[in-house]
Amino acid sequence: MNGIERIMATLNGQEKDQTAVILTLSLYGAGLIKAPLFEYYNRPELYAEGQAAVRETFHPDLILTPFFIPGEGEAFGSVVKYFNSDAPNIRKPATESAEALLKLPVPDINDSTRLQYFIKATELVAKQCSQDTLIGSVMVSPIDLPAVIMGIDGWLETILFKTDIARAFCEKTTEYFVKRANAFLAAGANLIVLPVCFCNPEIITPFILNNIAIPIYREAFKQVKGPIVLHHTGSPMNAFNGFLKDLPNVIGFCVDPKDNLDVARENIGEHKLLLGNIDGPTLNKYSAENISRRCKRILTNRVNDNHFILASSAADIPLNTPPENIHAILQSVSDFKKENE
Amino acid sequence: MEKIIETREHLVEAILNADRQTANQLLDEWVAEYGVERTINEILDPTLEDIGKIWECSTDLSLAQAYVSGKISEDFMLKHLSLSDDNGLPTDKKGPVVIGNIEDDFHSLGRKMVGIFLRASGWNVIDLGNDVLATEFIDKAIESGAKVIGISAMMYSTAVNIKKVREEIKKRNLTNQIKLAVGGAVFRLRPELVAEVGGDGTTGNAMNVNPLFEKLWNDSTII
Repeated sequence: MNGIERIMATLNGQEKDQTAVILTLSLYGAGLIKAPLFEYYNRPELYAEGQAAVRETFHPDLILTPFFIPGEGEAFGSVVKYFNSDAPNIRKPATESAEALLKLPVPDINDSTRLQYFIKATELVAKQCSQDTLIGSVMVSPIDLPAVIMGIDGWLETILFKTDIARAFCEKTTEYFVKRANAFLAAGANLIVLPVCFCNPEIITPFILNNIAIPIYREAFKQVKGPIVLHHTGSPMNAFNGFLKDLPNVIGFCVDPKDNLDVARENIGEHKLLLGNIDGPTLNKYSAENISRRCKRILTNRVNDNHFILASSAADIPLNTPPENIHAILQSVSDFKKENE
Repeated sequence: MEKIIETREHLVEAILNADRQTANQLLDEWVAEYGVERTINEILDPTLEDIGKIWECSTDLSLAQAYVSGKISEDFMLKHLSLSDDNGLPTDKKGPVVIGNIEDDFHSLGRKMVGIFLRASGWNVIDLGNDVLATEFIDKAIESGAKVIGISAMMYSTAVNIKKVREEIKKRNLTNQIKLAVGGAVFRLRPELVAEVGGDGTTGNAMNVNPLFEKLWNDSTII
């Protein structure tokens, strides 16, 4: 089976040759081709080259287009800082005032250099990988996006104390989100991956989720012409995923390493994809043997779960992760299959 | 006593609902009936202590709820303590102390909450903002006479830059004179990092920052 067949079988709850694997190797591709990170996150052809190297080296079942959330803010005017060995981060938000937020122009996806980078990278990655690998495009939702435009603190204050402005801005970001998501799909993405970088239990309350976020999600997601996977970003999501499971077009949930997988499955129902939950950002701190053991524990837990995908959770796998640690994850899947035949 | 407990419970409920308006209304009503001092001692402080315990002991408290707690304290100080300075914040009785996010760190929410709770506890807070170099922290502490520097970092990759502040303290022979409080999401996940980066203390949440800073201030050998 190739990656497409394996993930589709998982989606449909069918038999497959082994558990599908999805790894957050967006950043790692730069290391494989020794690309400077500024170049990697600004030249789509370099990003595609990095992902070609990822595919060649690890043969994952899904390739991600740039996992570059700060770039979403950059399109609105936030300033991004680039590092030598870590993914970029927001240096300065586009605005810190709720009132100024409403006056910010929404970028045109056909004109913005940053947004064109995302689309072009998707086209190139799809061109080289889509015959046997699924393509997941990463972006943020209409209500998570303002956190990278005005900072988490500014957006939290707006949501809490200037809710009318928050709702008005989200009307603009909803339209923008739908255009972007559908542009990704038209460029060759098979699914949209949405890191829930703001609307998670560590930041907001269930009341805000249910009364503000979910209506916005529902309106936006129903207009997306493809499937959506919600990604926990860096926060345990078990407390919220039950509220999110029936949103339009949502087919799966990638959960946190701290999320109990049995609870996660119970919350999202038996037919949604459940992805997780080996911690990606700490894969450079353990031996390959240790990683194999952790994968085996996860696989043993999910042995009867036909809709489970072994995935790295949280942010990118660090550049200095030994390749053998990543191979250990892939090997653990085939070893587990043999042991259980 | 029953009324006190009931009011505290209502205030906790309002904070957990991130309902600033209701919380402020409850406090205002208590002030009108019993005065500012009793409101602080009987309602506000014990409630914040309870919220702090919830935050410390579980992952159930969101930043929204903690942020509203801080805002309520700030609102109360501004409204009921007639000692406001030019910035609209209560006149400082303690400090000064310096806070900031370490070099390369741009996650300001935690730092801002620490600032709110410190100010609400009467500290003169000098906030240097994001991406602050080790030399800038020390220069500002010396210039202002701060005995405590509070440094925030969200991720491991930026937290390790705090080591540079410790090195700068040693280089300038200020060990035991300037104390380092460190905090941020990564320190909750990896408590051993406090010692690794040279921190003198930490707290799992912004609400407990006052006792930490008081301890470090008292531990400083500067007279």
